[in-house]
Amino acid sequence: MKDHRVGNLRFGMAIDIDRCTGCGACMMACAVENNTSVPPPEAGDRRGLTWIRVYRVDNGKPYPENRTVYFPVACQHCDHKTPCVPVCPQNAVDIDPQNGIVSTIPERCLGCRYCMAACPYHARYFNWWDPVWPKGMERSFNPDVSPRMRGVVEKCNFCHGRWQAARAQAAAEGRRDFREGDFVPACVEACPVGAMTFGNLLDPGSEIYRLIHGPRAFRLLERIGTQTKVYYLSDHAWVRALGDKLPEGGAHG
Amino acid sequence: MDRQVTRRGFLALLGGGAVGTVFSPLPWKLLDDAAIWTQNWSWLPRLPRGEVRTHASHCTLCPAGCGISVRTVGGEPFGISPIPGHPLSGGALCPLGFAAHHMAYHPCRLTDPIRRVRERGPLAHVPIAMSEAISEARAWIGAAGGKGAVAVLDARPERVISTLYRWLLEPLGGVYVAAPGGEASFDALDEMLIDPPGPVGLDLAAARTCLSFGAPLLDGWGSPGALPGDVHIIQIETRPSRTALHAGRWLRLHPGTEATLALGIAHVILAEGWANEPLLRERGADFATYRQLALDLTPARTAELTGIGEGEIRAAARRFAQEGPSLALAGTDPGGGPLPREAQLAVWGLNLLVGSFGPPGGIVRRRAPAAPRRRLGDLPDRSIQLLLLDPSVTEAAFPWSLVARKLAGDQAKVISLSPYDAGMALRADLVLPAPAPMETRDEVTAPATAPADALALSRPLRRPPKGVLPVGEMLRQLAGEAAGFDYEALLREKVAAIEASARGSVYEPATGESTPLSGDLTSALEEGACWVDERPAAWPLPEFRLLGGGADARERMRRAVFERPNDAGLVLMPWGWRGAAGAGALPQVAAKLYRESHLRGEADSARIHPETGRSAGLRDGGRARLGTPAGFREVVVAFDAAVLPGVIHVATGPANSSFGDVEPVLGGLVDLCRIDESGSWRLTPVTVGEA
Amino acid sequence: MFFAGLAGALLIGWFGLPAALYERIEQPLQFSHALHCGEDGVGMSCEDCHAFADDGRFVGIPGIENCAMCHEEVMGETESERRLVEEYITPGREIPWLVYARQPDNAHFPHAPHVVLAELPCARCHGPHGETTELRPFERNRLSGYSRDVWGPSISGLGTEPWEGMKMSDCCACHKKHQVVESCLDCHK
Repeated sequence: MKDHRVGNLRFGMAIDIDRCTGCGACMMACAVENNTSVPPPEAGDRRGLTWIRVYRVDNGKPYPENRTVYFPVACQHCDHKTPCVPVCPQNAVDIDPQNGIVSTIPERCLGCRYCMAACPYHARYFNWWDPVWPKGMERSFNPDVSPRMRGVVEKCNFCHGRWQAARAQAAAEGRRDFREGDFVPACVEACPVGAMTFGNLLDPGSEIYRLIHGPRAFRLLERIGTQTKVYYLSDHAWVRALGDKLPEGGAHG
Repeated sequence: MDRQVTRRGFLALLGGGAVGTVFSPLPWKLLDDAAIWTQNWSWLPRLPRGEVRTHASHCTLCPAGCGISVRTVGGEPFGISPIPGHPLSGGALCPLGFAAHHMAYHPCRLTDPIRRVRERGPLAHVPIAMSEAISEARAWIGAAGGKGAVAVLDARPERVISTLYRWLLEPLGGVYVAAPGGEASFDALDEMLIDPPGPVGLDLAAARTCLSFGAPLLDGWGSPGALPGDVHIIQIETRPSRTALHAGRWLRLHPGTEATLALGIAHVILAEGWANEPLLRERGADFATYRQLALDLTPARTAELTGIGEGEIRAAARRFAQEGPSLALAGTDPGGGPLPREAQLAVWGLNLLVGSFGPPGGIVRRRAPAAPRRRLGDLPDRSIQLLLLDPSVTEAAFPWSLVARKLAGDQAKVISLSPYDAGMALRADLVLPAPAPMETRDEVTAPATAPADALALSRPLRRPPKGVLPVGEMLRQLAGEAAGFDYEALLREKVAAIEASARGSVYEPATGESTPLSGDLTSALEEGACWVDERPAAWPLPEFRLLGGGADARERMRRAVFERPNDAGLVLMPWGWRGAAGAGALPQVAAKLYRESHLRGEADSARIHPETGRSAGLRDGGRARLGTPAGFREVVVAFDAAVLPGVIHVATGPANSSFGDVEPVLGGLVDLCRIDESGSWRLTPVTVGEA
Repeated sequence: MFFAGLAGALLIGWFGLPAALYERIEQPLQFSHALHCGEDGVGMSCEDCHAFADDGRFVGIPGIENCAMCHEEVMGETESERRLVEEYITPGREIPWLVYARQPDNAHFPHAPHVVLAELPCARCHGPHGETTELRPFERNRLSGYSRDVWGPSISGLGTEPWEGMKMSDCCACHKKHQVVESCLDCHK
């Protein structure tokens, strides 16, 4: 897979697990921003569409040693040997050379779901049903994100609609560069406790650069080498260990 | 020569046609067009087009009144974001707020009044014209004779709209009643103060220590968002709520022992001499009795009754008394409902003990005078013949039997003003459609627990459907188009009064800054600004009765504190989170996300200790059937080691549904709960078996 | 016979198909660009109606308030203007224009980088539309629903002018020529 990245912009995110209260505002903001359709009740968590999903994890101990944390997981935007990119027969998955966003274009997707199998983070979702909306509700859709029909895969694109709007605004001002704060994804904006930070991982002056180079930072499944651009932060060793937690019986169990 | 077409000739024709087709654009163009055609089925949604604008406004889904930035396309809201640094919400927005604009399209949304036709089914109804609905409603109001026969139930009292309700009720001798439940009840506090100073607020942000007796600080208490950064929260509740899991300390007490623990903490404070006893003796009419009762309750006894260790009790008391300003909160989630009366008295009393009354960081006084309202429990049984439900009652979660026992039998009529035929509106005989969020100009006030009054507007950003009238206009028609029933005029008067007082500050979302109020407030509010009152000066400790009123006050407190509820077997504790506690309408996207992720307690999800669950024959992730004297309920069970053995926590809320598939259900989990003498429904013994 | 079939197929493909595939629909109103902003016109410029909003979005098709700024009352003698005032401005109705350049919902085309940064003239993509005296009929592809302008006027999809054709391949060709980095998210929503 040829790496044709250019420039000095690589978008990433840092999520502070110690701060996350598990409210789910990020999930709501994401679904509304991206015109995510509402599958029927039988979808459950296997066939639903949760581009960002907050998992509840506890240390399994009884009161008072119990500890619970919440883990928001969306597409991790793997930077190295991105698993979902080379497997797509339609070239519908692309890692954007300008900013590192791993994008899925639903219009090209034919629904083979190979990318879903390839993704180690269960971050890709399939539209098992056509979107069904009450009459007239499409008037209240976000005009910057196209809706998806049945039979295609979708996932987090770091709010590409907002990225495109921010680029258009910058262009109207005569700018070609990206400045911190030009846009934030809906989930980051929504978090009521400010647990999520977004920005350019390659900019030494940015807040996110400082966070990911600190001692609290860790990533999910570091051992498989995907070098994800979504980092997590925690003071607690048991939480950091969750990032690479092996199943019972070891790696091949 | 023969002009007959031979087989060979025909095949040659076809062959030529095939070659020609390949060299014509036909197959390639049709392939391209077909590819587009197959992705453009008529039932797939199309994106809206139009001018994109951003407006600052405020959310009206719940009393918190969070500041929101609303993006519209072609005059229709499509995106909602929080406003960082907003004085009411601090830059936070709860999950439901992001989809407030979806509520206008909810399947249960009403665009015409409906009349219930119970002969055809418990929820069967027919649409009727507004004029017919109004005249029928007026006829019912007229037929309800006698003083106190007409009542209005309001879950958000003290808005401008409540003035209109009072004007409607006045010529009828009707009563204005606050709905039970809600995030905090100051009724017991009012009972304790001999000369109640009017509305109070809780200055949590300025406190250093907070003893929260079940207040869902992270799940719908005050404004959503973070726990205030500097406050050490000691969360005292049985359930491993999100607040408990994130608090500085979680004390998991036995169900129903809040009064015991509060008085146990009071014991330590008094025994150690951390209270200003001379002042308390001077101001407290029953301080000596209270003191004796508290001192009888030793820490050992408290530990035995509550299940909290002595060391923990002493540590909490020390922290509360010595590391102030401190605040003790008696607030509970909207699904579990209020604490019993004695527990509330005991908790509020702790604030009086350490002087957290008046100065910042404690119970503070707000300025706006409150008009008197009655409590539902105080009304005589079977006295109401016509009950009017405010739109805020639709989503409320309280056992309907609390209301039903006040209704005068079969002839009593219930009218609901509601945007949706869901939740409590299903109990009504007539439902008049109220506007959905962002369809009319609405007043937004500070939540009941806030330390200072505030005023902002929720602006109309979309057109309501034809035939849906603002609530004020419907009240005007119900009052026979009486003069003066002008909601907009009353709102203007309220704003004018604030302008004249020249008090407080105005927060402008465009600049993110607050400046002292000077001059025109009206146009600022129209642009999404928010006025916040200044804090009143600290007021001296009022005279009080720690045990509340009544000749048997001491005996009631003694019983509540020393006697543990004798519930053998499994205890059901319902809970809910604000905005989704009742069976009202929820944004469909929220319902979908929560059932696809199990993140929040979706309705009828239960948590139980693994040991308790197994000995009851249940499976983790399986279904169970709960039985109470009032009926049965099926729930989905999850094992959780943090739950107290012997307790089952079940979430209340709207039935899970998706678009086009909504099945309204009459009644919710709380209708199965046992109601004690103070109107609390927190604990219910249940039988459980696998479903 | 072979050549008869060949000729027939070629005729159908090259001439029959375009005639059958496209539906000609007249615009709801006639409008003369030349009258408004041409050399002999009333002296308006393109930006008076087609301009950028504060957030960088381009107002492609102006709303009825824009027309109302001048045409509160009938100023000329044409039938079109009379209908404009009576049927649209006075009742406040938006004109349901049929947009030749309409792209599907999944295509994101921002005018700002092309007009402001790359300094492309309008005619580069929209042809001499700004100089026309009347609006040509909208030719709607019966299968896909889009305008003939998107594939291009010629059924072969090949055009001589740069504004003939606005399919993805046309955009990509120009991007490639100007060495714009190839990225799906540039253009896809």
